[in-house]
Amino acid sequence: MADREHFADLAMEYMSSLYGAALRMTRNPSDAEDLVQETYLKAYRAFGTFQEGTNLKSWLYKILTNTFINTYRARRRRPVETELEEVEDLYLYRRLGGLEAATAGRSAEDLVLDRFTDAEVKTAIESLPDQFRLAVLLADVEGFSYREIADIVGVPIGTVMSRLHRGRRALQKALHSFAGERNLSAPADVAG
Amino acid sequence: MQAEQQVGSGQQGQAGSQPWEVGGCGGSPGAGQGPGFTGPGAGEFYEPCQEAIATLYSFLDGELTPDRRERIQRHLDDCSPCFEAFGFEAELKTVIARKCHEEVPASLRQRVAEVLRAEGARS
Repeated sequence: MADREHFADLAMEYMSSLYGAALRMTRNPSDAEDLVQETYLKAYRAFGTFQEGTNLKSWLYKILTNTFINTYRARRRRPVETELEEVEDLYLYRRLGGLEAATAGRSAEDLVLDRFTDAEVKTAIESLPDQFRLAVLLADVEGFSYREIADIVGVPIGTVMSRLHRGRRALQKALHSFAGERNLSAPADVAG
Repeated sequence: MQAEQQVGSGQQGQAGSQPWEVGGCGGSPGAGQGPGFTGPGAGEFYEPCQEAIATLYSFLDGELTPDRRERIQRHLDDCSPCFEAFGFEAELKTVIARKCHEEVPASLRQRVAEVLRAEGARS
């Protein structure tokens, strides 16, 4: 049983990661702020049910995710399950990494990948359908384990892995389209 | 697709049919330590490479059992194409996390603090 008086002390430190996730989820600063505020209010009200000693961050993410799914996604009336194009393994590496490794040596991927701007990475994530976007966000941006993501999103671990793997490949394809647009990769590779 | 030809097999256009037919360290299991850029035409894939690529994400996410992890790690120590691919994916993961950082607007911090204060006063 957790004490409400300590809620702010414990929970406020997670606001910047919650806000970042809310931005990627809603794709809109105003909705993201509302979503974070609602998350904190719900968490505060329910804090008595939080088991002290368990993971507060993932508990907050569970509330954030549920609120997003129930409020914002419902509002957009999108289908819950969205088809995602199948993308091959190592999509980006085959197009950018191989080229760099062949010409410039081992640490070259740093150079290639760092050429993506923050805005490009964010837009690429936001281009993913909801359930894939959530999986990628929770794993790659927030560093949650598969078990934690399964608990946050409320699906089996196998589903988490499948969404995460497919989402990551789709993300690579989206990033590559930026690389092509800005000619980050070699001219010979633009068509890929 | 110059890059793919340089790295590996040069067999483009069938991406996805096998996990590791492009840029792969093909070769037969008995082929020695070196990864050897054998062509995939033989329809023969070096099993450890297949396993490594199939478990790449679980490896990078720290989700493999210690045994499995160790087996993959041993393979990466020996196989530079797989090592390169893993390095690229690991770097991509950190780049994504780094480039998604957001600053919380001061007004939001204030709003949340006020809402919680009001809620606390009500109950």
